[in-house]
Amino acid sequence: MLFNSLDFAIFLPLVFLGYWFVFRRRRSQNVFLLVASYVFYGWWDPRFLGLIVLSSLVDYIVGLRLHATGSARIRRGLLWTSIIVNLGILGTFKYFNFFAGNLEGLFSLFGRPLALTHLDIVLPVGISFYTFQTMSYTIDVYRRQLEPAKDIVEFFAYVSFFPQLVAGPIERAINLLPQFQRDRSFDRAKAVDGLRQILWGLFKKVVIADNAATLADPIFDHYELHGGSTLLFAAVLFSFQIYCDFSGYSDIALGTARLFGFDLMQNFAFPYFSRDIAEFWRRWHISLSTWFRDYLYIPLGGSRGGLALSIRNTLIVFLVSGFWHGANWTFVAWGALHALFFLPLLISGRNRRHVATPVGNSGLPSARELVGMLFTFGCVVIAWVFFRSANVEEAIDLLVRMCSPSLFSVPDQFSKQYITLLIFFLVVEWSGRHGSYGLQHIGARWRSWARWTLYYGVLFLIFRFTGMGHEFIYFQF
Amino acid sequence: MKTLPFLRRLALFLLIPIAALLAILFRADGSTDEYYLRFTTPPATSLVLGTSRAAQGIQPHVLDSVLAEAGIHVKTMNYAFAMGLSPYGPTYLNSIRKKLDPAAKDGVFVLAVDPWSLSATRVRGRIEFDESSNFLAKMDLVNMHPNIEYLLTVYPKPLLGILVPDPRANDKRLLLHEDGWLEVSVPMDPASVAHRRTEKLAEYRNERLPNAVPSNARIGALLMTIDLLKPHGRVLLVRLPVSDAMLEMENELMPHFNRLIDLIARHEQVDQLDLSANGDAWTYTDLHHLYTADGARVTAMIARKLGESSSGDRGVVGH
Repeated sequence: MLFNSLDFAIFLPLVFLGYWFVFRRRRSQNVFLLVASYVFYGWWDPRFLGLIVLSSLVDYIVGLRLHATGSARIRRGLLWTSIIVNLGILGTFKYFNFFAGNLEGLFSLFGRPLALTHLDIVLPVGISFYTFQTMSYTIDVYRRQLEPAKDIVEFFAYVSFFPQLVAGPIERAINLLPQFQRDRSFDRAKAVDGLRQILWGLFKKVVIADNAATLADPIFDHYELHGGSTLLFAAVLFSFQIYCDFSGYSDIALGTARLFGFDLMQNFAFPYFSRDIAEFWRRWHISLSTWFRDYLYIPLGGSRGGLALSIRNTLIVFLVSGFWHGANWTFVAWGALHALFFLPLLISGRNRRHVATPVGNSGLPSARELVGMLFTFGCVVIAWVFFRSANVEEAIDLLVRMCSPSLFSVPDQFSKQYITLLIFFLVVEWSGRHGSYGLQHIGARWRSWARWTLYYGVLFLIFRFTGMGHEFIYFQF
Repeated sequence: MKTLPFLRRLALFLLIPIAALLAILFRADGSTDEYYLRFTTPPATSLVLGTSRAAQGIQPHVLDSVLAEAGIHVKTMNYAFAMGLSPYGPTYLNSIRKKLDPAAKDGVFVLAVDPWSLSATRVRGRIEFDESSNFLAKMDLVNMHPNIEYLLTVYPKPLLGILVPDPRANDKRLLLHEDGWLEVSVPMDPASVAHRRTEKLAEYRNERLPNAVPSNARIGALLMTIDLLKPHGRVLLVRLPVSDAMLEMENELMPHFNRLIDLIARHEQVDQLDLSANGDAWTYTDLHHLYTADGARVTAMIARKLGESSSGDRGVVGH
């Protein structure tokens, strides 16, 4: 079920009413949320519900067994059981054909053709998200940082909680599970804030992301026909498309969760206002970055073993992070490129210079901040070309064409309407950069009619552009 | 409870947007797009089925009036779409099931058939059924006015497009009538027709024909469609006229198509009408879509055939 669909527009109010008016006790609310989440997921293809149930069941049992035994050997065995099952599911559905294809390519390179079986299977929606979520639970229990869930419904509901099931945020059990274990009462302020966040998320998705896709897709599809400036324009458009698509989804997820009394972690913190790449990675897809930090970077030794080890670990994290996005070398190249941008900051010890939100004396960024932001954004845009392209060769070809003298010509594809919308979006985001999302505090002190006018304006724009019909990009990961 | 004041205020806020939305949805009509109105009418007791040839070529109001002269009173709905949407197959059959009035008796059912609507597509060596993931497969509600499901989930343009005509429409004007007939108004000067004809010819010759594969699954679905409709009235299989150039390609695709239809008609004990001979005697907007006036003539012939068959005559009529 898509957040920007009629199905969800019917589903959400029904679940809301059932949750607060019919099922008032915590356990019955959890059961209801679990059923609703399975309906939400099964809407795509009910066959894949089996994978979530399997993943949940394995981690539930492993969690209990980990708690019950003191033997280090058995505990390690249990941990590996969970990791193998979860990564096994992920590997089979997402990476099997990639590895088979590359192995075939490698053998034919040495003149020994190999014909391996390729699986004719569909990638289950959100598989990368919920497998990482369940794995983090087991690892936390293994590390004794978390008590295992005793109640199977609570645990299953935590794994499958529909607002964040298919595209994150990848919630830690330490944050979300306790919320299923305590009574929840309706909080009007929280619910209003949730609705506002949903509104802003829909605006980002429907108005900014889908419009960007409509403009950028034809350019990327026939990039060889366009000059440098048009290709740059398309790359910038894609940068806003992917940001607004993904962070828009996160906003809707967070807002929806708040309607039910849950607080999910912030997944994006205005990453395009970052002054260097290190800051960008503290603000982009935070739930994934911190996942890799806690469950990969630190176990590898983090920065404790000196600079060389730190560089190696950083490189591994970026490459794995790229590969997590998809079974294609383009994603690995995307990760590698970010590592390349990041490592100079790490080596020079300047990777934690910008931790606080950019302020600016007059509400605007200082010249220094602005230069940093533009440079960082430029790096990010270049990397997105790899992310968007069908293969690495195409990405390089596109970048070469972009960096031609035609870069300084007027783009042959341009949209004043879109630029106007983009400016409006950036103004709201900049004004709201101290909050959790752009629209959060804007108009907070205005009179009701003025605030409602703003919301009606946003709603009108959503309404105006509804029907472009693009799925969320991150569903495929 | 604190939830109720919240819901009251939310309802107040949403009052204006919902009212505006409904106002727009009710404005959707035959100029909205080439499919919408077909999903807004009540369940049908008589149907025209097929692809775009039938959608544009068979005019229910002509069919009904000619049949009325023969004493047969029906209200026919043209439920034909396009080649990518409604070739015979499970998707189309399911949609027909939803559109058909289960209580229909003594209706008429015109099934336009041609080799393309009984073929699948070969994509990278695999046989695929293009329509299996299209909106016809996903739509649950086909008899609802306004059809919120269609407008909010299928309609490919922003909803405000319902109020504002598409400026890119230029010289091509589509008007879907309430009976499902798609009236296409295009310039019919020889140069424009020749241009569209050349484009279609290239498309079919270079893209469609090399990848089209006659499909037993589609033939099976046609049989199931006939089986579904027979208890509700008279079924007629019609091969509509097409230009000679198109007929040549169709003969390449399925050389024994007429024999196949003949076999199906005999097996199912339904009538058939082959109008493919002398194809160039008719006027088309391109290679195979009948022009309005000739569409009316062809529809009248179909109606007369249905009238004949009601008196027990069964056979093949040529043009």
